[in-house]
Amino acid sequence: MREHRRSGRFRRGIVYALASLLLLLLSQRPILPRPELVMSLKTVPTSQNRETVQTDSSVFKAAGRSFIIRPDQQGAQEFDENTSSLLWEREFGSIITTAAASENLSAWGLLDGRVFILDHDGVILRIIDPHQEGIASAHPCIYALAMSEQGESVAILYGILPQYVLVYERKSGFYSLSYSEELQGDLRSAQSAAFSADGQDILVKTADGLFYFDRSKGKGALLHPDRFAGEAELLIESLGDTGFALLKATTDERYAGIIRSGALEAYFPVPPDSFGLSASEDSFKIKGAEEDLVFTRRDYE
Amino acid sequence: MSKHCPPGPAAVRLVLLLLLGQVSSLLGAQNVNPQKKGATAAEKAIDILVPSAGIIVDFGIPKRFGSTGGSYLGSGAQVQSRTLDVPASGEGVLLFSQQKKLLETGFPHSGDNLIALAHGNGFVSVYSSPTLSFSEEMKKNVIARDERIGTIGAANGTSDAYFYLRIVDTRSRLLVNPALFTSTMVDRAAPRIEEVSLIRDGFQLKAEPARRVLQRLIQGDYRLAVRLGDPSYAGGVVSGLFRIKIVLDGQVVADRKFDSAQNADEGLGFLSLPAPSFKLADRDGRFLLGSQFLARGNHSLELTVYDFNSNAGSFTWRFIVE
Repeated sequence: MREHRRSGRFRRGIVYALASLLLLLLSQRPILPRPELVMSLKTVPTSQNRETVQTDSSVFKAAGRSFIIRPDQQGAQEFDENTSSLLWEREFGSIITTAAASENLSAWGLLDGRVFILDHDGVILRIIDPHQEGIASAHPCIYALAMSEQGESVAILYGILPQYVLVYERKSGFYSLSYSEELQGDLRSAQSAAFSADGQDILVKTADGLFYFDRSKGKGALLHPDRFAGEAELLIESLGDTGFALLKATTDERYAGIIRSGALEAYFPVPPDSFGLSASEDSFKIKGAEEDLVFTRRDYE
Repeated sequence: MSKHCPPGPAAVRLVLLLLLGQVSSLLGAQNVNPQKKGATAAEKAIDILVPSAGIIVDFGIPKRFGSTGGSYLGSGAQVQSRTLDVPASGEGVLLFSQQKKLLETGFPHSGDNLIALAHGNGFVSVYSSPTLSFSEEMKKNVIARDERIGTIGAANGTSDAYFYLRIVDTRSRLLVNPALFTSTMVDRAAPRIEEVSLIRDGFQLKAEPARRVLQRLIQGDYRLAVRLGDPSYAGGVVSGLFRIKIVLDGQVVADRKFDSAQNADEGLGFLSLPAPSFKLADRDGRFLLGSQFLARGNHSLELTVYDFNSNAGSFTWRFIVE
């Protein structure tokens, strides 16, 4: 009788172990595109190798604009790429940790925890200082920064112990804090963040996972902490009007993905020498050391 | 010309005031040697160890960069490490790190890898070098003073390896001259005044005191442009420019110190002058100091510069304004 019970317990144990293993495998598997989603792949010779990028590392290019970062990282100049002439120059009292730019604005995150928003001529429009607004971190610093095209909204990864995702909205010319999320962990290097092209969605890499914020609902959520939590590097680019393309890197693996409306549409391995990401209306390019991969996304008809 | 004063009680008081963040308004014009004897809580939080191999303080020194000919003032010190280790200046936590990544990120850095440690009392120390690599100790919650936070590579296969160090007082919003935190910096080489000029609307009169005839210029507002240098002592120590004193016709018109730079909205404010600091330097590497009206008559301009160890270099120029 006792032996029978023991063997029953043993069988149940085996079943539980197998179920756990299956769950673990499922959680680690790549997410293939949904059946109604078609993704085509084109391989092209690499357009820009890594060495070129490193040599040009003091130039920050965004939204068709070019900025020279000063060697001490406490100043920036915008210059005209065609004429090489200086358009404007600005010095900051602290070290630049991250930056974002749109056609008419630029935003600069500093080691002292402030964000400077400059107009097209480099004049200060606003200074955002979360510390002054009562956001209590032991040490202020800006780790990620994203700004919508017209500058109506700014998203920030701010401070350590604890770290916060903060979203500011511009109302009557002033930026006010509209949302804050305290995180469990913190990252202490520059991270990727982006607005969707329609300006409604925000995606920020955090220690807890991918933080997604829907501006129209005013709600935020952590996406897939199992895949995106921790210190793995991540690039985020807006894809189409409402989506994002992702490239994640660990020491010897690379994964690409698509997020649309807060859902992970696709997540799959790409060559381990992949190092860059750019995205447009319906396709995104994974830059590799040997070749670039261009993925085109379209809904199945 | 060159002298080395032992630290006195007044100097110790001054250092204590500096470290309590009350420096800018209280600093007087007296000769100081801020090498310290006592140790306040702030000194314990940040205590930069200067290896005998060398230190070059470039706080306030004009520098140039980029194809557009931009200029700015140095804000720290190059520290030569004997062992290629980069030690933490004080107990602290990792605040920010920047190094070459696996992925090509949108925002580039200047080419230097960088570590920022947050210490007690609002101080932050920033270490940077193109060859700086991070050590495993960085993953700990608290990094002890002197603990290795990274290593640097030697240039050209020699032991000539430097990292650049900056000290920030976040509570007072100051970038502080790292020389104020060193305890063993022997520099007996006096700073040099390489050029003194008066400039106005494209006109420039360069001082040539060796000429027998007094130089002449017309009445008006002039800016003083000076090129300064601080040679290294014993092949490896530059304590850095620390004070500039200008006397015009027996009256002190400026007596300013490179003790700290204010973190202002417009940038860094050195020498208690308005930010940004790049307006204090021209493309020829000269300081552009404040404007002064020069009336008709004979004038005498005396310029004295001191390094951190109170070695002084001076220059006297007599000219006629018509």
